[in-house]
Amino acid sequence: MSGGDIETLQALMRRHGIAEVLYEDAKGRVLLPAGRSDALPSPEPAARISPGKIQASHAGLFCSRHPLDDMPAAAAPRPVCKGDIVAYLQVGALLRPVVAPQDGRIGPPLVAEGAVTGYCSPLFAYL
Amino acid sequence: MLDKVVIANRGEIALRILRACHVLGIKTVAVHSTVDRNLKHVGMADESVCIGPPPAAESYLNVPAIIAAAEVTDAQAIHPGYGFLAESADFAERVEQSGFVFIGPRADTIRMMGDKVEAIRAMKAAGVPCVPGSGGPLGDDLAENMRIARDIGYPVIIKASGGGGGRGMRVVHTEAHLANAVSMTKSEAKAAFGNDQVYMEKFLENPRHVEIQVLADGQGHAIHLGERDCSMQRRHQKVVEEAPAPGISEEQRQAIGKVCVEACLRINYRGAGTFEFLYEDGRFYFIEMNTRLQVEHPVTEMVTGVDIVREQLRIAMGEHLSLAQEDVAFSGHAIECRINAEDAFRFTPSPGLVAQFVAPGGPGIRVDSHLYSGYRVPPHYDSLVAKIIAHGATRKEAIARMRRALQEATIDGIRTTIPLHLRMLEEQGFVVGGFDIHHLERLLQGGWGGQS
Repeated sequence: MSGGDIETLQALMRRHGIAEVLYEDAKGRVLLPAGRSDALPSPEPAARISPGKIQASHAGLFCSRHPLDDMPAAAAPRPVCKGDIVAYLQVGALLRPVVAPQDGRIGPPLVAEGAVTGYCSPLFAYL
Repeated sequence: MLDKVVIANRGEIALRILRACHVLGIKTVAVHSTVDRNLKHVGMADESVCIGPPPAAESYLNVPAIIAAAEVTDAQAIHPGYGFLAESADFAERVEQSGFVFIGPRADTIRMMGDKVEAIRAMKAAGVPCVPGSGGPLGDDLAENMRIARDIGYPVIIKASGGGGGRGMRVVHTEAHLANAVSMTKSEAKAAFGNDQVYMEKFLENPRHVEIQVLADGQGHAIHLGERDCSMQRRHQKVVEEAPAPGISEEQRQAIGKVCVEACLRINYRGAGTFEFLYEDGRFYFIEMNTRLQVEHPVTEMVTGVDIVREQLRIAMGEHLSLAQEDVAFSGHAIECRINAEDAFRFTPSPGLVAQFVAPGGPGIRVDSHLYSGYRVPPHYDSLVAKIIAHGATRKEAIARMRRALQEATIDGIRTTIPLHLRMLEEQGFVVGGFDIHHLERLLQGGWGGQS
């Protein structure tokens, strides 16, 4: 497993709210944390994060996950780190990522899968 | 057939386009900036998509955002209205390359008419009368430029090839000022339009602005809908328009109209367009062609009964013109007053909350406006908030109806140019008609109108 693979796995863990992954085989065991500690589920995240929304930066069709990602969309609520890709906006063949502007926990999407969203449309609310 | 059209504009013209679409059973998509969420047509459209923040560069001039809106809403065509991207050849090209119909002329036609030197060349070749001029861009050879100016006869005007709307031009009365004027206009043109090409024309001292409305289907058919007189201007911006132009005979109308129609056929024009002329001493001189719908199109609609926006949509659907030249009948006289959210005589912008809006009505009155009580006029865009159009059997009756309509109109909460128009309707030059394009400026410089 390369360093890049580990980062990809950590990003997926954060996206799906998984704090740690324990991998064990005959040679030993590896405990992989999700990454930044403030991204992990916290008993009181809302107290530390100012409430707000994640808004669309462009018009597009809302996609809660990458079309090539065959895993189900992350369950809500879920922790996110600033810079995490939380959804996509699709315009034809173009996919634009929706990026979390700050750390925190977000609820379920505020728009339906495939819905037309415009600039500044609220997509997620921080809890 | 078009099922759904994106309206890439705002305000009264977006509403006008929406209404024409709905009459034809075409669904509409309103694209808007964040500050325009409450525009009247946004609420009436079948769908709406916010495309950016208030600055026009990030919303109504944002080509990828507009095309994205068409893509995600499954629209088939984009109507640009007027202003913004309506005469951008690059926009028209990108719209069509993206698989949508641009409701307007082909990109190469827009590009040709956007270059004034090219446009004049094309019009001369088509037999359209032009102002005596250099016939091409001016070089840096001062002696040659002086020779051209002497041949034309002073005063001359230096104009930017990429200019328009009164920008990028300089009048030269004597040879001593020619070199400096050419140099200055070139520098300004480079800065303003990214193109320092300039050309020279005879400067007409007291012309009128008379323009011919055309429709062409790009399939070998073109007609003209007569002329409009748009001589009442302030800083090259039209204030009042009327059709027909006072003093233009039926023979003149048909003669210049025929020339314009032939030019349309020669360049295989598609859509609605306007040939703008200066008119002096009984002669027309072509100045430019506007390859779009004009603000003042309603006066033509009122005297001909032709729905120009509907024709634009039909042409975009690949249909032939719905009428031939012999079907066009002119009836009565129409006048349009542009109502801006401005101080009536100082012309300072007056955005803000419209506490109450009551549109005038009655026989012969049409109001194209996106205003409603409680609407807030934003400061970011053109200040036009309403067009009041009066039609009558005669010019006198149209003026009388316009006066009543202006008196009846209620737009509380913001200042408007209604007092200017009311004063203008009493002004002797306007009452007589046939004034030149400097008339209003002369009045204002003389202190006419006073304070609102």
